[in-house]
Amino acid sequence: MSWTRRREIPIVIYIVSMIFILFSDYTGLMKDTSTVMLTSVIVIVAFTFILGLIQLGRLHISRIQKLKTDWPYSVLLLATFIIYLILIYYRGTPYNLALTLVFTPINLVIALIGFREMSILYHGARARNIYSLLLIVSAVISSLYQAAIGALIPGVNQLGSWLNDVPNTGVSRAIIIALGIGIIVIFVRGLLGLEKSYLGEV
Amino acid sequence: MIKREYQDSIVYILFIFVAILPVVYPLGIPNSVTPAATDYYNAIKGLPQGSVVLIEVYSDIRAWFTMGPSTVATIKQLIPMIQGGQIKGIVFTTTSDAGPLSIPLIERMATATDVSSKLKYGDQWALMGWIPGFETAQAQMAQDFRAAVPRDYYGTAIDQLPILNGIKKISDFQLIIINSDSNLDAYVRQWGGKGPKILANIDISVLALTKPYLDRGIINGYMTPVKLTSEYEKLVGFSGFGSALNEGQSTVQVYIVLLIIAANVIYFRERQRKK
Repeated sequence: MSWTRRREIPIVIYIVSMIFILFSDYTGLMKDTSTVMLTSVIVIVAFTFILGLIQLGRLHISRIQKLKTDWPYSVLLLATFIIYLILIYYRGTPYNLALTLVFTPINLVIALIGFREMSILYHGARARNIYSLLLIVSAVISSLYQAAIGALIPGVNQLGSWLNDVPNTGVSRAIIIALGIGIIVIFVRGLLGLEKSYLGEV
Repeated sequence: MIKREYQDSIVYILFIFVAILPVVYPLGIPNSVTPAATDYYNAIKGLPQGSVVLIEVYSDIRAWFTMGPSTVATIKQLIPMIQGGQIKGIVFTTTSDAGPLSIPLIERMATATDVSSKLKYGDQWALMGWIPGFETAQAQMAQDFRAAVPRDYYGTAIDQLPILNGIKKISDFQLIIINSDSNLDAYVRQWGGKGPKILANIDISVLALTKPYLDRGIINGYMTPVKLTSEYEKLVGFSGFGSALNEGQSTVQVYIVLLIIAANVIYFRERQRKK
């Protein structure tokens, strides 16, 4: 195997840069180098979009060349991409029109999930046991609490406020603490070279 | 019994009817201002002289109807304060995972509030664009803002934007307003406790995860769509989308309750019939 593909190289890069940034954050020393490191990450993330673009192009061009199922959609995707790229590069009125008349309305229609939610509630919100009944009742109270009409229904404000402040907040605190501990664990595993997910290994 | 494929259609038709009912026949549901809206309003009103406000937008254009109105109302409160000289200006950024998809949302908010004609670009407001890297970008902005954002969205160097004179790191801003329909953990990790007040424009679904930070004072106020936004719009002194959708939200919530009751009645009747 080529030495550039050895696992140890990315592990060493990870450990050295993490320790350096931590050291800089806690001591305030070598801030300039730490800034360069963080800025490099921002640039690398931007380059990953180029990688994604190349992969997108390869996938869809291959589909078009081999006339696979739904290949016309691949043509549409690539054509739309190129048109948007040209519009964004030159900006001005055509870009604003495309944004206002095409891009934004399409995205807003995608965001219209209200109908699906109604269907899910109708078919799924069934009190099959005591736990689902509790869930439904608390969901109803929370929903009414968030609407202006909740103030007109006796008890909704008090119960909704209690649900928000006590069980909701308590569980959220537990989730946040668990997340924080998980982040620390993954970080320590990374420092010890045990974490493999960022190497692409399972 | 109505066929299943028709049941959904009936649910949808009733939903549309209930949602547009307040448009045709306003119900006049009273909407009193709650402490949460007052706290949010006062946090902005009490900004010290010369403050620079950072508005970080995580949501993308799909969240215009949910997240847009609250930030539009916020900008409408800020504009007179900038024009009157109380605060210096507003800076828009996005470190969103959605990347440049957040920019159309910012542009739409700017258009809705007429920022470009009411404020002078570069002196009173600036759009810094998308900074890739999400939490890494936020960490970099906290440590060295000028290195993280060397140019604005239009390519102008940061040194040529007077509004950002003296801004070297995140703690140099006096107020950060985060517009997000996702949880705020990364923002709290990187920007929390660094000095500036933080206000959160969040979706209702995220409120539970934000409450611990509110209780500890890491986040100093919050705004949620529709109900709270309509109260805030009342305080700012205009009727916007929040007020317009307020009654519709109430009627839809009542419809949801009745729908759940009806669904359970039908379910238990069918269960008894099968027995």
